[in-house]
Amino acid sequence: MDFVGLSVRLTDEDVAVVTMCNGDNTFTLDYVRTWNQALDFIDTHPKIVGIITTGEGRSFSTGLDVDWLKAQTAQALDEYHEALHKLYKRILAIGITTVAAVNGHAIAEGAFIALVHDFRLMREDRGWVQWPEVHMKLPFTKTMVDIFKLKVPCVISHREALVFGKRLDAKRGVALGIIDRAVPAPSLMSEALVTLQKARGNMKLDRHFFGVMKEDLYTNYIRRESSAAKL
Amino acid sequence: MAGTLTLNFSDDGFATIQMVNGENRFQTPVIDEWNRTLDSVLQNQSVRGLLITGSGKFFSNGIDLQWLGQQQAEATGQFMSKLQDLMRRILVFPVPTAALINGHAFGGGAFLALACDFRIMRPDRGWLNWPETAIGLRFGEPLLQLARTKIPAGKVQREALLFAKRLSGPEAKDLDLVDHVVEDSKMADVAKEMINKCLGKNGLGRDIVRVMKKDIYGKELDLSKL
Repeated sequence: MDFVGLSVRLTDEDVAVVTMCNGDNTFTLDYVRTWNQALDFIDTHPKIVGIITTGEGRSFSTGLDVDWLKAQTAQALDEYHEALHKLYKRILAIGITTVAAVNGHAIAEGAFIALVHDFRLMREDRGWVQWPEVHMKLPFTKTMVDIFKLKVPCVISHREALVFGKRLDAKRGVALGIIDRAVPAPSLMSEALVTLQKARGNMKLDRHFFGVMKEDLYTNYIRRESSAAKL
Repeated sequence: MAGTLTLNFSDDGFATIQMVNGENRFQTPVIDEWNRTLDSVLQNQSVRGLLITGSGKFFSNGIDLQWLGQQQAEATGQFMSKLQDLMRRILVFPVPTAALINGHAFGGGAFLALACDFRIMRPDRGWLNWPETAIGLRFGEPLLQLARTKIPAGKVQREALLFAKRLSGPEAKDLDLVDHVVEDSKMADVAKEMINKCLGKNGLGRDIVRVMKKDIYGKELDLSKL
């Protein structure tokens, strides 16, 4: 199924491969909507037992489209952030096992998209994971901070990744507990599939129930706030 | 129900509670026996540490779901409430506690082990496992709060809680869910050594140990009734 800048393919193993295929896969309100369309599509296919999300070429997603950002009103930006937070939480609590196969740069929104998946695999030889917000003077919302801390409890990681916005290669990403495994590029997708299969094991995961289990663990611990501090 | 537990005191200041009832599953009378036994432990002023263990293949397989299914609604609620209270009682027990996980610790049995300060497993037998996801059972907020006191967010919660992984001793140690992996016969000695290291030469007062545990472990729990 093709969407604008994003495709969803179903494999023989009933895994949905979500490929972001829009250049650097930068985020705008439209791209958030596209993502929701893809998730709506997945929602209507009860046989899907796993999701692997990846990009193409040099980027997984490099985050916010800065040119688009500059052209937005304050109100439009609020609407964007609201929708973005909803998307993060939707992926976070989807009742399907999810793996982000980070094929390249995962920056800001791109890094958060990877983070809200159950697992993160990254190619070992290229690409950065980074939350550059400090360098751009863009504070995080409480929601964003809570999502990060829920997935990455190590306080050194909070400092390196969030407070100081360091550029992290796959090896550093693994050391900081942000990336689960760094793998050779040619085996990224096959390893993602193995990760999915190992996670699910023999369990029959009812979609609604598994979503509720994820909500129990995650959603109640995320503060609701989609607007960040103003400098 | 009496006789699902044995209690022994050793000369070196340790109490050992052993579960001796097959799979050591929890029912209301079992919890009542637990509370009486813990009372006896505390009444012995020479006790400075508590070891909890099972027997044979089982530490504890958790809640007796078959028994629970036969109870009326009100009794079910009362049971869950008592179970949660027992877990919290052990969580903030006024002397250091160690779970000697001699065999399988599933669900409620895993929570019992979690509520102790220290956990020891065998390298070769027994799984630590929260099967709730696999059996379609939500944790419920009270037990989830207990889980969060000892199971950190991120990878460990994902593996142990969300994906219900069966963890062998070495796997549990890898996730820092247990402190030591040693053979059965050495577990008690290792546990006593760990606890004695905590107590030091001068020991630790029961009141302060309890308050410390409440303050440090109890961030997420309502411990106001304890």
